[in-house]
Amino acid sequence: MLAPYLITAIRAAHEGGKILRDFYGRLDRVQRKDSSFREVVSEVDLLSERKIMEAVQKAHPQSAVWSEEAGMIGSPSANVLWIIDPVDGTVNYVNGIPFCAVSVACLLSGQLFAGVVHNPFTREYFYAQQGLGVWLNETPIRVSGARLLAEALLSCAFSSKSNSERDQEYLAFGRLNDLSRGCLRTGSAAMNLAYVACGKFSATWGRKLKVWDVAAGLLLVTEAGGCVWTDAHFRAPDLFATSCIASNGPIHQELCNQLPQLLPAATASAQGSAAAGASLSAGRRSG
Amino acid sequence: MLKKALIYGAGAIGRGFLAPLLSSLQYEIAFVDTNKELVLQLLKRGRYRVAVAAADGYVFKEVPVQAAYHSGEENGRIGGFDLVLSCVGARACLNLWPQLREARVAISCENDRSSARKLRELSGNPRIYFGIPDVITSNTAPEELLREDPLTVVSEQGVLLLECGEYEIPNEIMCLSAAEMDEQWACKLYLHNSPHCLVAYLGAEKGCRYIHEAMADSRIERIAIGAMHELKAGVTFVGLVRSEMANSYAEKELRRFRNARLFDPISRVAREPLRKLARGERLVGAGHLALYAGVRPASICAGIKAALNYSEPHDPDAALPILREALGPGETLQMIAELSEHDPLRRMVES
Repeated sequence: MLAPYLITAIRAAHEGGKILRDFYGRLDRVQRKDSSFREVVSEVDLLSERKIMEAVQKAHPQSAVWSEEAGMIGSPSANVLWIIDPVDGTVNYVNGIPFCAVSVACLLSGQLFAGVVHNPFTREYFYAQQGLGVWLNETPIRVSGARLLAEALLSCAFSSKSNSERDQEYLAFGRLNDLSRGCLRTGSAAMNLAYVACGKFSATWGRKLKVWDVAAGLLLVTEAGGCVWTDAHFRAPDLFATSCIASNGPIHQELCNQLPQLLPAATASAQGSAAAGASLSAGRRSG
Repeated sequence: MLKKALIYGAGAIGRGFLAPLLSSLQYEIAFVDTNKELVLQLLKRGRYRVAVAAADGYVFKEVPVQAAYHSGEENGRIGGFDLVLSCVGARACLNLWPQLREARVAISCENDRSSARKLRELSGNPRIYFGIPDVITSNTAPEELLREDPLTVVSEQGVLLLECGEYEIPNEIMCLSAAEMDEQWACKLYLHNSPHCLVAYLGAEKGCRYIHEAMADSRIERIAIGAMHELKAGVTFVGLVRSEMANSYAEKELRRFRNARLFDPISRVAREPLRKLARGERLVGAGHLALYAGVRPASICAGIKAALNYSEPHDPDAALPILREALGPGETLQMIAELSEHDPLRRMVES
């Protein structure tokens, strides 16, 4: 079969997306995940996650799954690992804003191999397989041709929680907004990366990210000809770093010039490193 | 003094039909193409040969080539041509609008009825018109002809239909009113394009290379004839085409598809299946027309299924097999043709 992991990823994202559509606007209960009232999880996250996991495990029973809500299922050292975010942009979703996505990534021997970001409301499927190509639905996609920040629409994702770097985050956000055609804080890091891959955004940056937010999107951007770095000092991308900068390439330096204090050399997340184990330490791609 | 014609696209329609037609009407021919090697060959040779299929063989026409440009080299010269024609493909043609601003008269011979209007709107040039090349041309030829001249293309004695406008054109080319063009376009889209690509997709499943080979398969021929009945019912029911016109057009098309001298490549006719499967297009649009007419489009659905199964790694729509495998035929049709799960055509394809 042609591209079996990619096909499974699309099928799984589609199954998760159906759940998001089925329950859209019908939710009246959400649970807080931790101390933040913005970190919410809905029944739909859990249902979508179950559907996606069923799809990937049915097709590839020996593989392991690591998902936002369920955690790691199976051995972290499995040759095939699926990284799943059943709803990226849950706050948007529960508020009836159709800018959210299902994200499914497949790692083979610790390397990103296939990825899908699917917005079920716009029926957009962004998908890529290493070396095969990258598409939005039926159309091959490329990153934007912007040469300067002034020609670029940007997006960002940073923590919704109050923290000690809040002032710097908003300073960078404002500065980039002023130097570009605008910087949107969309609420979905996965969609931000997908939109960089297809050229709608010329770049995106994010902090306090989790691996399931970005795994599929990073592959989309690199396969679409863009570049991805962990911080403003061009540290090689790492799935388990908590920050990333992704762009079309030509505006990368100009973008990074605005972010050095905010995105210094970041540390890999303790959760990521521990759960992934040694086999994923090489799960990185250069831009 | 000879008039000058510039043809965008030196493929099947441009090289095989428009150039020999205009050359015979005393136009000097120039081409623009993205294929550098083809442009070099046309320049080097200064002429090429068209093999026109006739009842007892081929009639050969020599076409002199005055100029050939690689895309972009023609910029600044377009105003010097009496006539500019576009046959680069429905997806690519809108990108020509900057060049067509300068055109004295331009004709869009694309498989998209709205292309001329869109090019007028984009370029601001009101003298861009729509044309229908009613012809089957091949972008290649049998091997024995290619050995004699590698630029040979096979064509038939077709007809060029143009919408009336403020321009002069030789009497040999038919100019039609808007209503006549609408009827001709409906015939072209539903009684030519629909069964043509349907035969191509069914033929591809069978491993055929040419349309006439596919039509030699009795099952495919039966489906093509069945589809033609469904299509005629659709276009006449909604008043797009008069009944007698539909009957004669359909017979002519089936004859064409069987013509073993045309060497019409399936890879050319079947290319870009996702565009052909789009809503309102030649397959799904045709199926809906038949349903409106109260006819069950079983043969058209066989063509849609075959189109969904089309797999050609070098085709621009190479993503289709991935989508079909991942989502199944129904969801793939939802994505590319907006067919909901309740759509009767989708249900027929899925059944």
